[in-house]
Amino acid sequence: MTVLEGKRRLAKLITSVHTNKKKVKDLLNEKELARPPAHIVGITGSTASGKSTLIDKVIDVLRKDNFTVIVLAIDPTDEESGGAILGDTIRMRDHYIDEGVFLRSLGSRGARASLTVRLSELIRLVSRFSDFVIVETTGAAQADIALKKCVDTFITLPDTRGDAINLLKAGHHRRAHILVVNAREGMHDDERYFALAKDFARTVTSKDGWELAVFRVNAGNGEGIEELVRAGIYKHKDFRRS
Amino acid sequence: MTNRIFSIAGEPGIYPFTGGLYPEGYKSRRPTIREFAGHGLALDTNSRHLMLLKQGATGLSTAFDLPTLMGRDSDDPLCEGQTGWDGVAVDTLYDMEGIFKGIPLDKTSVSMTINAPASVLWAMYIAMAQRRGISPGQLSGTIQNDILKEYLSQKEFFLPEEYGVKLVIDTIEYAARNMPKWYPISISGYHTREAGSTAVQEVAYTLSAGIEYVRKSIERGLKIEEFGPRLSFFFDAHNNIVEEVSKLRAARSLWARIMHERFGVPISSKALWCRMHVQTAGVTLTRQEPQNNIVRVAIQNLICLLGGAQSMHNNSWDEVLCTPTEEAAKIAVRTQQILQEETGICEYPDLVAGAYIFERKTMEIEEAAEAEIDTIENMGGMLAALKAGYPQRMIRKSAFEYESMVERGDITVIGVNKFSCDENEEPISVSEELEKRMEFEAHQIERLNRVRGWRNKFHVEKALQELREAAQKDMNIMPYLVRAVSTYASLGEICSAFKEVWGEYKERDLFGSYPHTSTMKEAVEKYRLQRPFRILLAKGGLDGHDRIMHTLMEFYKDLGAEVIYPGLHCSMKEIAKRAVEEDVDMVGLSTHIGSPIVFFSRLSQYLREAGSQDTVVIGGGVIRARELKALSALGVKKFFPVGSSFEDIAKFVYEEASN
Repeated sequence: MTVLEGKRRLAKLITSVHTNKKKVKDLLNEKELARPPAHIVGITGSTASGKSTLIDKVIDVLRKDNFTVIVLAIDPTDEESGGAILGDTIRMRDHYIDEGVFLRSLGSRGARASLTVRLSELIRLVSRFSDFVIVETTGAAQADIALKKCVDTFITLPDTRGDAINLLKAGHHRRAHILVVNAREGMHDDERYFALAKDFARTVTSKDGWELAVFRVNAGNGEGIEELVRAGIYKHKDFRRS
Repeated sequence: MTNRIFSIAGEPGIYPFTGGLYPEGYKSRRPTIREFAGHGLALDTNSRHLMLLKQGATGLSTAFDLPTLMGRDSDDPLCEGQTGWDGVAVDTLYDMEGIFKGIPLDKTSVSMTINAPASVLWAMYIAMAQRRGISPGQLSGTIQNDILKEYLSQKEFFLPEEYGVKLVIDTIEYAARNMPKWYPISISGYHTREAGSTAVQEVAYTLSAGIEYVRKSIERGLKIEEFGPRLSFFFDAHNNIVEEVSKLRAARSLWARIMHERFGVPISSKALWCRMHVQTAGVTLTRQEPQNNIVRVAIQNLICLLGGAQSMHNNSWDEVLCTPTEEAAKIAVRTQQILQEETGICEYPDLVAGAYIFERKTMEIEEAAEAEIDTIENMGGMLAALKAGYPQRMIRKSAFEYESMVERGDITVIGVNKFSCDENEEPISVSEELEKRMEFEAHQIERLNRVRGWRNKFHVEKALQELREAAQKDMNIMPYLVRAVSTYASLGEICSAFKEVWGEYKERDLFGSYPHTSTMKEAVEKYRLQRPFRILLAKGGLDGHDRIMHTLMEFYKDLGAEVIYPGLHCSMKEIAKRAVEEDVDMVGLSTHIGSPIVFFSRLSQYLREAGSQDTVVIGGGVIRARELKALSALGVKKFFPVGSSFEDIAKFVYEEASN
């Protein structure tokens, strides 16, 4: 079986779960079900906060460390027509040809909280096929905490145009494992915002003892991404395992 | 009797030159007949150039294929099906030497239509001349080299904007210091107009780009007198006689005023001159009854002459079908000669002077264009405006309005929306030409491999390393380029070195909102899909004509489909892999430049290799009758040629989704 054939099977399985509402345990064979599950990373943040671009750069690092990656990128379904333009993966185009990366776009198909229908089952499925799974939300709502339930590491990108009030108001930042301040082109006060986010992080406590980590990156040029992956994602992965 | 003609807008030879640059007009200096030519391998283009010179062309103009325009080698996976197709393929100096074999470089003015990698091709031209014992100072010609309009409308680019512009300023500086007879830039409105802008926008955005280049050259430390007279311009000659003639007059006058009023150039200086090359409008040519295009071109050529252009290109009647055949190219030259020699039009300067309608229109266009230039300037100049996406949006809007007018019949296109005919046989000359083109790719790759075999690898590597270092140090790149191309380093290797140091251009403004015509709305309501049918919409190869993709994305979404768009510049392998991972029901591939046969056969092959032969493949765009027949054998279920109705597309998708 060629690698692409393997991908075709996975692609078809995703459709079976998403569209035809099949159960993972009925689709996978025992060998597949016995594989150790991937580490699941969920990323949310408002529209145009740079989620897709951030994922693109995170994949760079994961691939450098020889991990395989599956991305589930969710975009909103138009309520009237039921159609959708699924455009997130276009920011990840450097990975189109990489055999170790699998990119799948999903319409939200009426799900709430900027997710898609049958997301937890989908994650259960794809987690048997790679080392890492990254889930990207539509970024339409502030109520993305529903995502936290489905993933291992929950990352949020606050809107850097906002202030402390916005951080406090949006409950999902409080529930995040990692906050990413994306210093975008033309942004001058990222220093101030980074300090503010760190202050905010100190006020957050979690049940399991993980301390909300804050990273400053520039998703556009990749600055700070290595640190985010190593001192953030990997560290949280190890933390959960211990 | 005096032949002084008085114009209310401005006399010929006198600031602001509305009526022409020279007091005596074409009587003192005939316009250059400069026919654009290039296809296949170097030797194919060489023989076309020699033919044109023999037929009385007074300048040469070289067209490069899409891989060359994008700075890529012919064996790059993204170039499949495009090598030698719409222009000549150039990978190394060896190809440049082939194109100009037997042509006296010190006596022939040569123009090269090349932009993003213009500096590299120019370096090849200079290196070739040096080998023949001709110094750069003896060379005359033009490189188009207008990168701003690539970001604006033509979309053939690979570096981030700042570095694209830096390379242009490097060439302007190099020309100012070493090549007094060369025009290092031809600031172009042609492509903007062809992309659907209005005449006013064409003038405004072209001159705004001009202002940006002047400013950047001054920042570099050049004096305006050193480079100002060597800036040239390139406009479109569309159908409307009054508007187009007036547009050319307005552009000339407005540029002179800009240079005088905004940059303080004295009115005696040639730096005020808007020297213009004008090409007949490709977008007005029709595939239906294509011989009618000969008439359209002749009229547009008349417009060039009435507007006082310095240099002209006539399109060949068959170039909507393929790059011009030899016979058609000859008619284009003859049309120029008939107008210049038989009609007496060159006897007087500014023939429309004093004609009220023309004079008024000239002033209207000048005024409106100046207002738009002020808008751009208030945004911080053309570079800033481009980054903000402003002129792109304005052009998109105009293009949509133009298309709607054609669709409604408010604009008449004979043979298309009026007096249209049913049958259109493909001319035999075109079919034969296309057959020949299928072989270019393999031959050019073989040629490139031969050069890679005999060149000195050590010298190539060393020259590329020096080039990278010069790029890092922000030095004028030209001397390093001349050295690098002399080692037969390839275009792709050099452009990759640039990208390593400076990064690559990333498209912005990917998903705009596109207005819908009434026929689209009707189709959407009639054929709403009952399930989320998944469609991957892709563009073949390096082609940048993506406006239709945006329209289709919205259209399919409104039908109820889930649409995945992988972006411009994907190889067939990438498209196939995306189709597999996204588990789409259908792949729609748009082709405009290059060979649809090659695109679809490779796509089918890769889909088959991945086990996805059941995916429905459809196509759309430019297609020739003969190719259309071959496509069904390749498993392409349906092809929608340019001009297909949205209703037909919707009906097809609906039926596929119901299966």
